[in-house]
Amino acid sequence: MTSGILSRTYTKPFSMPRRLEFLGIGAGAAAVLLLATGIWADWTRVLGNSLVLFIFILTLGLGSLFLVTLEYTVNATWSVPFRRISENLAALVPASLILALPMLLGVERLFEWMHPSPGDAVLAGKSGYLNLPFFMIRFALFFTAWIVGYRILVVGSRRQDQTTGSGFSLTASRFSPVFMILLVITITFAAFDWIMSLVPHWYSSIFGIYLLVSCMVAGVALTTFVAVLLKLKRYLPSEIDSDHFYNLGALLFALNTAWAYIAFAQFLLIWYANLPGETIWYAARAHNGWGIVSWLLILAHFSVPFVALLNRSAKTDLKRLRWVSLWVLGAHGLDMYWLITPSIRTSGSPFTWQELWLPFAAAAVVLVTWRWAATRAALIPVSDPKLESSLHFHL
Amino acid sequence: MSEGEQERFEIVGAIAVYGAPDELAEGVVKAREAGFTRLDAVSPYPLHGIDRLLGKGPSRLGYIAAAAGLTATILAKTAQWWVSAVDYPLNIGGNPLFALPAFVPVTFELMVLFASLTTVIAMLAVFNGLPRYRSALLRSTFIRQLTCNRYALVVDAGDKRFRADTILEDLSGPDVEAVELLRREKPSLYYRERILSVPFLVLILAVAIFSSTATRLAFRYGGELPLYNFMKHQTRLAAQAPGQSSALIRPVEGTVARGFLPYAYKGRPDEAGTNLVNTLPITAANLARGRGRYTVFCQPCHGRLADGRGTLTAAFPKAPTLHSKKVREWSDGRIFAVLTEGQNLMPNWEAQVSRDDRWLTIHYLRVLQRSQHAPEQDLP
Repeated sequence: MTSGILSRTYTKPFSMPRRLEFLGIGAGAAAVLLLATGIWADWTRVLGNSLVLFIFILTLGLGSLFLVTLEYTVNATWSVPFRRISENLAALVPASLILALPMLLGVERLFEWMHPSPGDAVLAGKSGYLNLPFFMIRFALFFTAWIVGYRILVVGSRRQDQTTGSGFSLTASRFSPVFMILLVITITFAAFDWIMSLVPHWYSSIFGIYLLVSCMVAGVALTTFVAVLLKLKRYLPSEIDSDHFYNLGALLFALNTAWAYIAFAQFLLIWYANLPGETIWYAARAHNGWGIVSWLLILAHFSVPFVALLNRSAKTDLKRLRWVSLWVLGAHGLDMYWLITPSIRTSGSPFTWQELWLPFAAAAVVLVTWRWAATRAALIPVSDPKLESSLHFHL
Repeated sequence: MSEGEQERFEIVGAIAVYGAPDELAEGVVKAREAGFTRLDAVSPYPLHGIDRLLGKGPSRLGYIAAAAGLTATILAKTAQWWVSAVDYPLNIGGNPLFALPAFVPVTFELMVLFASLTTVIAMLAVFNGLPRYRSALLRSTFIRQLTCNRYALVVDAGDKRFRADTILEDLSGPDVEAVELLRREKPSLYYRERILSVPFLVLILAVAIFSSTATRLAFRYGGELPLYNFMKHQTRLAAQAPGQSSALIRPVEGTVARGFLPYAYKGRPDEAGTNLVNTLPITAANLARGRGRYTVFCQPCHGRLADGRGTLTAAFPKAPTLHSKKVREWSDGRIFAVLTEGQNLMPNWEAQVSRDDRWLTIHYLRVLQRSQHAPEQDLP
């Protein structure tokens, strides 16, 4: 262990403050209570909401994992002190395996392609891909790839804390580009499988990229939020200053704008061609109260963060970064809800009290996973060979 | 320095040359502590954070970029609205004339173009004062190293703390490799520092006015030498002017053009139905001709089988089937009246389809009707 760079305070494993533990328990209890009151009312609704929760948590985890691979791939220096935070948050990927259970059990009820109407030529043509055995095989393949990547990058990084030398960093920077390509492919097909196939007649070739960018926005937003909180509560060394946070803010700004770009590209092509087979997806998101939600999404996921982060000083202002990153996380949650729910429930109002458990559940899952992962090692990769130069990083 | 040089040159500043960026940064801090305010740094590549050390506030370039971007946004939206929805409304695929989503890409591109060009120009021309004929720095002994592996602190002579006789000692230090005064030729009528100075702009304007006036006058009085026989000089008929050279010659009174027999039953289709007879023989060649006319003029609305399932979009009114009992029992002359005069939403085809072709089209229509309503004797 290379000591001397950092004081002992920052090389100890993170200890979870009691208040946060209570917060996690409280949020979990609230989620369970709220869910229990609504669970008998509408079973399909609960299934759909569970799918939203699963995808939301998964995108947070995959985005964080993506950020880790990105650092190794481009050999970034500034992000090294934040990498352990992303690594800990990447534990949301294995955690979301549990959250996927409702989807796997309710596959019959959720997915129309499980019971196509006879004479449906389109679904008959897609049945080679959209069938239960292959669906399950793909599910297993995706999670195997992600968890193997998680073990190599995250668990390996924790192990590196106890060693010296750059052996692991070299392995990781060789593995990361390959894993990044794998991530892009698996996320694309996961988006096709778990979200796009809810409306099996509809397709959009940009859909995978949409979810990929969403993952990255979510990962960066969550990492930023946690890093800012830790910095404000003095869990991070003083060498990490506004120059480091500027990069997180800039990345959040760029990725959020990229999300808007991709989302608009998908909408523009479908709107302009105006073919019934393609517009059904947006039609479901324009009627029955969903039109307001769609406008709200543009406002919350693009306009507000764009204006809030445009200024240079906004990216170094920790207080502003804290609420903007939390705001983007909320907008991402709305995005996932908007992406999934209109495909499952075609009538009724977009939100009722039966959706109230989702934010509580998400908060509880993130807190529990964070406690599980972060208490295992220091909050800074203390033996990373680039740590010293990264602590002295200046714009 | 000789007396003559003293007169021609003036001291505009001084530089201290360093071997490393960190040393430069320390030099900047020291100079600021010593009370210098008008400082600049020269390095072969951008040094992050040096602007903060130099005490320069945040750049105002961003506001210029934002203003340019906003201007382009408004310009693009207004121009597209004016062109597509007001001045020349054009229905594209049934989309609204003011198609906001479709206007976004152009708006975006124009915004990027305006913002980036304005930013580059503003950065060079406004903030950096470029282009210049020459800078005092270019006369420095160290300019070659400064673009390669040396770093310099520049003190402007306008600084309150600047004393020409002591500045070299003021800037010296353990890390400083060299110090030097920066000199510049004194401005004269023939020598200017900035290219974009008033005399230069006036000169450009004068040259532009003179050359275009001279060209115009030369053409006006020296005679135009056409490069080739322009269309406007060629002999031609005036398209719509009456008289001898008109291209529109009215037919002689009491005559009709060949193939354009006047239609005698205008407004009386039933009379046409009883009196007009299809005299053209039914041959393979005639049916092929009729089929061709049908395909061009009838099929888009009435469909390939004349069953009313045309290829036009739903935005267009649906044409009826031609297999109805009414149409089947109509005489050829009655159908001819419809083709000639139109009916309801159907336009008249008198001008586009010749008289004979209309009769042949009717022959082919009978073939289509018989294909869908074959009498018993047709069955094998």
